[in-house]
Amino acid sequence: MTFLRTYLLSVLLAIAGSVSADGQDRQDTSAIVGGLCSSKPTQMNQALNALGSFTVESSDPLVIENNARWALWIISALTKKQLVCSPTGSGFVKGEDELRDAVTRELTKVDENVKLKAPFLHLPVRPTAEIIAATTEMILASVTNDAVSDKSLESLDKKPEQVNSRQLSYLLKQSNLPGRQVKQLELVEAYQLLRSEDLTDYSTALAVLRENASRKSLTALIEIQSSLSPEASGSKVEMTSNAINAIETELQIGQFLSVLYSGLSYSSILFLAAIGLAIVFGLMGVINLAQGEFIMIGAYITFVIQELLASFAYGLMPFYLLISIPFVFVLTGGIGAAIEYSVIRHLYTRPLMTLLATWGVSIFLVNAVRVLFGTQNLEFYVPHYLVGGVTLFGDFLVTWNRLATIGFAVLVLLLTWILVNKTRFGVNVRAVTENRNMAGAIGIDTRKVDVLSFALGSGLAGLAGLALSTIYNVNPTMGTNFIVDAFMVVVLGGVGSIWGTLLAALLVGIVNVAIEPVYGAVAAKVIVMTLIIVVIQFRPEGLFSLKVRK
Amino acid sequence: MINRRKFLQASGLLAGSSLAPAFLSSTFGAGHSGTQKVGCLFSSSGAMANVEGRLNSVVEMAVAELNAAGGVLGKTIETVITDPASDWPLYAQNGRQLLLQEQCKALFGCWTSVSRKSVLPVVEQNDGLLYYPLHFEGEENSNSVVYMNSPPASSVLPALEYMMSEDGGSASRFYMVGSDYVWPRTINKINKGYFASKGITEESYRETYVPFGFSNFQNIINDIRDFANQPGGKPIIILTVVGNSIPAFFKEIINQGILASDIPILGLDVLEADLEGLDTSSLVGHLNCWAYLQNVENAENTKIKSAWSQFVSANGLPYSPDVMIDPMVSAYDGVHMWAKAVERAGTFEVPAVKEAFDGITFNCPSGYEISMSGENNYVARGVFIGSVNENQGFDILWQSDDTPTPVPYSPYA
Amino acid sequence: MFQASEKAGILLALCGLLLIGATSLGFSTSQYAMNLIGQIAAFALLALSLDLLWGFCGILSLGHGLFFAIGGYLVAMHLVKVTFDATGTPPDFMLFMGWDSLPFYYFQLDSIAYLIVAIAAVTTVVSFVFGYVSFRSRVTGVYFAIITQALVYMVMLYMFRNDSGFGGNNGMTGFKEIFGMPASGSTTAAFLCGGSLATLGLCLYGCKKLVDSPIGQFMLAVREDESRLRFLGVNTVHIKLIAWCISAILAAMAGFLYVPQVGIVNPTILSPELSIEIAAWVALGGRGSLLGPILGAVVISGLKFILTGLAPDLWPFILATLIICVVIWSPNGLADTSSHVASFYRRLGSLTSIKGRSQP
Repeated sequence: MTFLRTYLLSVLLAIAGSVSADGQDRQDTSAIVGGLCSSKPTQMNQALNALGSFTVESSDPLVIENNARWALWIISALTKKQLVCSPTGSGFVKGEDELRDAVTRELTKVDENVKLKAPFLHLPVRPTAEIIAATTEMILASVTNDAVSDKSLESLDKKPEQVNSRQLSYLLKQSNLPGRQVKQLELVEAYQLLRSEDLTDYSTALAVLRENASRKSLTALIEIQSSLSPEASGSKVEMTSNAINAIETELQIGQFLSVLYSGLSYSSILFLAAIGLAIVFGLMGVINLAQGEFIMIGAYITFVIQELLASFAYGLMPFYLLISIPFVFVLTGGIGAAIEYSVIRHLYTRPLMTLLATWGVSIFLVNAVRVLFGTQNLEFYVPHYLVGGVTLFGDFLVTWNRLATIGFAVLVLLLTWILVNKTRFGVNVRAVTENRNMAGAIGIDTRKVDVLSFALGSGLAGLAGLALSTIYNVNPTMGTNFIVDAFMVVVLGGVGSIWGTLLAALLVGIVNVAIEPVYGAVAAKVIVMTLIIVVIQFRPEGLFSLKVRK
Repeated sequence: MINRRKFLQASGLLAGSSLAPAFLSSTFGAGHSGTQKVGCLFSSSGAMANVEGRLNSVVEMAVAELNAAGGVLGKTIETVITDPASDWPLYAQNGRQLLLQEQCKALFGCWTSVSRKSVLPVVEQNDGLLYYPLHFEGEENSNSVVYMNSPPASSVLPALEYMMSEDGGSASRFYMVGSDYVWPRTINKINKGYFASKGITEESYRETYVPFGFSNFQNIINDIRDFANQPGGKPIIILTVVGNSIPAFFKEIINQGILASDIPILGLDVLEADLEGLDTSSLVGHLNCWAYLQNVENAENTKIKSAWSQFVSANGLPYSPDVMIDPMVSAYDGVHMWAKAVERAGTFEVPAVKEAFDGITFNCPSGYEISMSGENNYVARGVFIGSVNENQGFDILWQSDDTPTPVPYSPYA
Repeated sequence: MFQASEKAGILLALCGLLLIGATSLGFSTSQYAMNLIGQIAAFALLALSLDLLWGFCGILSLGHGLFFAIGGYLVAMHLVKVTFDATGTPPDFMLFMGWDSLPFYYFQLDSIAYLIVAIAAVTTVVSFVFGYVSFRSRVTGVYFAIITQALVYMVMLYMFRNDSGFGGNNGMTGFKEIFGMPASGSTTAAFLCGGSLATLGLCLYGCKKLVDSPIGQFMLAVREDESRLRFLGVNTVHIKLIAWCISAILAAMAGFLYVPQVGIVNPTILSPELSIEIAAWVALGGRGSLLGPILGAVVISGLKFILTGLAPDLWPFILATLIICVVIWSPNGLADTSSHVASFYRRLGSLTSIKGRSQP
């Protein structure tokens, strides 16, 4: 028996060897390139799958590596439109100023009369190209022991049903894959095992899918459930419906959590936009309609710093947001102080007039920035650690940039709280707020307190701009989007109360986001506004108002 | 107490002084006998300035071409430019000024539907003629407006038909997101009528609307992911949000890692300018749909693109010299088609020019010969589907075989 | 107390003369000019309405666009209905929504008498309810300003919707006849312009009577010190409500005059920016004087019409500088400039300087 097995094996190997011999190989590969050159989606997808299978045809690591590299090269050329075809269906890859044969990878030349055209990349081709590239990259990595790019890992998550089955079975046999990849491949396998008649395979697949509950796995199971024949064994029906129930529960939890998370992140944005206003309006009584413009200026300063780093210290680019924090705070605060000194200080006794003056300031700032930078949206480099996120509970995606914003809001809250409640400056501010004349009488320099608090309020708005720069559009008029919301939050929270502002931001943010899916974004905004107006009727000074001697 | 006489005196003077601005503007009117004026109504300030302002210069450029070729009916054409400042009533105001004070024989103007609606009664009542370069919701056919761009039934529906075909990815489920106003709602209504005619049921689409300037798309994109993974076939997003909501939407799409290969987006109002400031490498493959894309290859297109970049640098204009978008080409076509109609009518008088519309054709830089039929005031244009490339531009993914007949009143609406 | 207004009269005389002198170069009474004057007169009335409230009663509303819009939308509904009845062409929003007839709230709106009653009724009800609730719970000053802004913003968001039956973002337009006259033509323009100027004059006269009356004196008292008045046993809620409702009706009248002249109404007249701009007219012109705000409205909207054509890039800077300078250096607005000049001369003549009026 052993002899027979060895014999058969060697015969098989010999066949395999002969298949991977040059002639046969050339035929396969030119057929693949021809398929890609067809410009017809069905044929192109077939060619791509053939390309996938081709990478694992041999068992020789060297051949695999070589073929995988070739496949990746072809796919990348295809998606970048560098793959060009002659009317006869032979393909070439365009380089900077060279032309290579798509099959042999050798430099070549084509008669000038032959019109080379990139194949039409119809919509259905793109996903197949991506998934084949991803699995091929994994195969290459398993041979060379390199890491696989995040992008490839993600596309495997998204389209498990499209993975080439031969590539999958090859990959499942490899022992040197990292844990995450193994998990992913098991999930991909589970989707394919769902069709299996074998009850053990089926239950393994169900278990894996249950573990990776998502709308996608639910859809797959529901499709299976509806295709189960009435004669199917009772246990199979029961297992399926159990799994479906479990996944549905988890999805609901996930949905709840993601609404909560959206609400939290929106609240943190509202809080950041409002906290500066809470200082200048709440503590100082200045109705600053230019507060939104300080947010905008903060974002523009961040942009300038990013550009400076890009040209003078490129290595620090990933950290430009952190580096910007002190600059933004100080510079925006400085601009705020200048405006306080030139405009606001004349108006402390006339709060309604500060409203108009700051409206003038806001028009001025918007247009000054428009003249300096133009009206277009600015491009911000988003550091890799802020892109994407991690999926928890069903389809609940925790995105890094929103998480960072929430964290930043908490940080700003703590710092402001400490500054106002635990420092000499804070005591002075609160004294001036409660009774300006008395504070002056006991020797507090009220002018200095005014300038510093206005600078603080502006600086905080600038920080909001920094935090928002990676999430929102940055253009000269971005500030106007925040001003009404920010005022609502401050007024609802109650003047002079940081905690009130926080609570109001949470309330407005979460209520808004919770209503949105039910009645739509427009209605959500209208309802929240109405609620705020009603609350103000009952508590004219907001939810948490500071008792101030008038 | 105020002195009554002084009070009345002052009131009288006040009435007098309120007359002043009108006369001021009338002082720079009155043209020469050898020239004929046309007017521009595009905002170069305010919210729309970023995209709309450049159309003033396009009209100037096209008029300069006409003049270089000897003018129209032997007269030199002069362009009068006003700035309605993205303020809707000002469009009507400036339109009135151009027609009544400046005696302009044709107006080129408006971007948003509401600005056109604002000028519409003015041109109708004062025998004016407005060339409108934007695509819009249709359902309108004024005798005094030439609609340079296609109504949805002849632009959006061909694009949808392609996307529902096997080549286009057999889309069968649709998530429609739009800004909450008439253009998105009408487009989606037409779409729904079209779906019904194709046997697509209500479970297969979802529509949602956001307020103007909305940018917090987190929830909606969560919902889209959920929708996309439900059973029933390939999903696509039909995006009809406008203005700053477009980049905000794309930012969140990038952030949640949705690629064109997962759920393609057909952005009906997406232009090159909307991709500024975005990392387009993650947006490659998403789609838009216009009657012109700048990557089309033909002699007319090469000509207009080089003319524009020369015009921009010669006049030191603050616009990108190498970006040419559909509304620019439409405005350019409008000027030339007006000149052709005038030449054919043999007079600048508007009623005669209108009579001459039937059968006017022009070799558009889009590569199609565009034409007017006389049945309605729409210009028949070709349709392109563009696909975002790495360079913040659009590659041509698909284009129509010919110019579909414009249908102002969609049977599906 | 009205010394500022008296000075305003002189200032106005100067301004008017200057402007007329500058423009007599090209004088022609055209339809265009009359239309423009009529529109500016409507703006002036709007400014007057806010001045009555803010300047004389000390209540700043940043939502006056709401009442302007009520007048404007109702008259537009009237015009739409008349046009629809006359021509049979349905307005666009009916086509978009697939409606065969106008919604029920257009009932009877083709009658001008009913229209006027409707404007008065809707404005009074809306202003009364909002005012009563807010004044009773003593929402004052800044808070009142901010919630009125929230109110107008909220209504704007609603009006953008298509299914509201008010035309959504495209608004209402395409009026074929206005109060029995064809929509275009110099007669209509002259009639509307004359009507606007006459209404402005009448309202100005009425406001003058009002502020000189006992109620007007109570309004001033509310402005100066509301709590003291309350301690004296006066129900300040009533006084504020009267001022608020009258002001709302004046604003609605302004909208009624404005919309037929521009020929379109759309939700942007509900934008918070417009409402702030009204406050800017009042502040620039000089609140607390009846003529000042009118001057403010005329100067700013006149400058806007001219400068958006001549120097679109400079216009926002000019506006901003004007606002800031006036707010800082001339707390009582342009109408008060003459008193600055006077006090300067008096100081030159080493006379005692005038102490400025106290500000709430």
